[in-house]
Amino acid sequence: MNKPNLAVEFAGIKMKNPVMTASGTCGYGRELNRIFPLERLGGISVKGTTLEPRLGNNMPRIAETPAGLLNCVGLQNPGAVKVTQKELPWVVQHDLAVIVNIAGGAVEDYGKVAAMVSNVQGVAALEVNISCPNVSAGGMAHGAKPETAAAVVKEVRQNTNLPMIVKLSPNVTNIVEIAKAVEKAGADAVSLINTLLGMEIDIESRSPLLGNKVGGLSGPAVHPVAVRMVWQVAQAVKIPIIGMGGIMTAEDALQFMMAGATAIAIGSGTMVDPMTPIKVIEGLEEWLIKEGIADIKQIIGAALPGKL
Amino acid sequence: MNLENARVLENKEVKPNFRKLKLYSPKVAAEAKAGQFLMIKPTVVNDPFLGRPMAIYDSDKTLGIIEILFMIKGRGTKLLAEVKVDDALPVIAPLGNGFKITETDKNVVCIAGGVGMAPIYSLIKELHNKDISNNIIVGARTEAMLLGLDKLADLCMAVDIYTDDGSFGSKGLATMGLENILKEQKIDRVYCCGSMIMMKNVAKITALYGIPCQVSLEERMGCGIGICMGCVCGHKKEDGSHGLARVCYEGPVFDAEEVIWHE
Repeated sequence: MNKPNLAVEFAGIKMKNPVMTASGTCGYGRELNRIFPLERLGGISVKGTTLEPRLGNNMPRIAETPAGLLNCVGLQNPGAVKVTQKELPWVVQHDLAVIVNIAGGAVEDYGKVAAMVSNVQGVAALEVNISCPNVSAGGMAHGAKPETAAAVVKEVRQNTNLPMIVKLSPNVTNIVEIAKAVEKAGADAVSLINTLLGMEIDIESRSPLLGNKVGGLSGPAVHPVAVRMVWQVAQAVKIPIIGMGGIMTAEDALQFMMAGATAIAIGSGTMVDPMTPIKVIEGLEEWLIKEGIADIKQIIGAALPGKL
Repeated sequence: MNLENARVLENKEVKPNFRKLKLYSPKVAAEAKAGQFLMIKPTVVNDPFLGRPMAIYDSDKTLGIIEILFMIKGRGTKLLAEVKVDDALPVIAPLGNGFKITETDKNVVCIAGGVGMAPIYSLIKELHNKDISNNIIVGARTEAMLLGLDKLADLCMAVDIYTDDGSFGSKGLATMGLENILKEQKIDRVYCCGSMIMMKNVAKITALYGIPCQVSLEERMGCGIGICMGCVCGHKKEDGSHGLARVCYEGPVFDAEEVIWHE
């Protein structure tokens, strides 16, 4: 059979395949571009950008866990001015969907960063991070309640014409309620999940290991949690979903797409083996050929109720 | 940089709790420079999840062989200690920036503390090949933690040895040896890899004598390839401002004066 079609289009974002690298695990693409041509990816979500430069949290920032890791990097980034002047102009030269993850302390900061990023030609979309577990002000606090999440989304909406993806936190009582609230407030898509709040204790020093005490759990350990959340959110909202959480293989990615995700993102998997995103793209193609499916869009939501 | 499965040729105990792995990895051996490192996993499955950063201890381009030296400390190194000959270990290497050698240097000092011998031995070999005169100081807490002396003996290099408890060589710290040399000889450059406290003190002494110094930092790493920001150190930029640098990507070797040391 002919090569299957891997391209997806959602919320005005076009991707040659549904595979992205997740924010915070690919910088602005420069390092990965030394390992494989960045253009192979459907998209990249660059490191979370804040209005002012951030140094992030103290070391240690990484703790290995069973089937995953905890991190407490804490949104280290050079700030919106440098990112828009130095980093984004480089990455947008490449033929892939460049999505800029933005984060903030105050709600107004999100609006300011959104406006600055929107002035850079070639950016495909914004990903609004209301779910970082590693910053004390803002971050996850915004995403914890439907009202505060909606407030950030409204602020960003007023400051950009770009498609707006809202990245949701799993550290909430009911992620469906948050997804519905951001949809209503004007989000064009949602991405989920951000990391799960966790802790590792160093039994030698009898104290939390990480510099920020707590950190975000990612990797295969969170995969079933993330798939479940995508599946629930997909039944509650009409906007498209980017699914992520512990994807190491094409099979892991397919689970997200069958749960209702239009695209997927890889994070920890790239850290462990930088070729993981490429292996997933190739694996998806092989799987479609094996199954005799001409277009990957046919499997989106295949596992949702009423689809069987 | 290469991603390949390196074949285990030898897994040998060099001292109690310290092992050396000899790996067949021709691409890495061809590219490796002194002070660079690799990310290595004990198995092809993702358990343990993350690779472990290890300095390249020795490399042989002709035979396609590299060596690593490590202390058995946690789960990852415990599993690495158990690998068998012919096992295939996923390796990403060579990574990071190694030591910068100045060809016009006439007389330098290399200081290795404990397992810090790994990158320093590679450097010693390279300096030896370039005929740069080298004063070698090796320090360890105790005789049982002195590493690499066999390989240095093979190079016929004289070595100044210090142990904290006096169980071998002089009793005391390697920095004492450094001060003695700096008082007596004209030294162009000092290289060091050891504990953070050793490197900090070496940085202090060399700054006092106005001698350039390079240190190879060790840090807990996530990816090893510069994408996760998990292994940063305090860093003075060229313009004097303070920021952070990735140990895996801007390092692991830094000019000592660039590093902001913890008190």
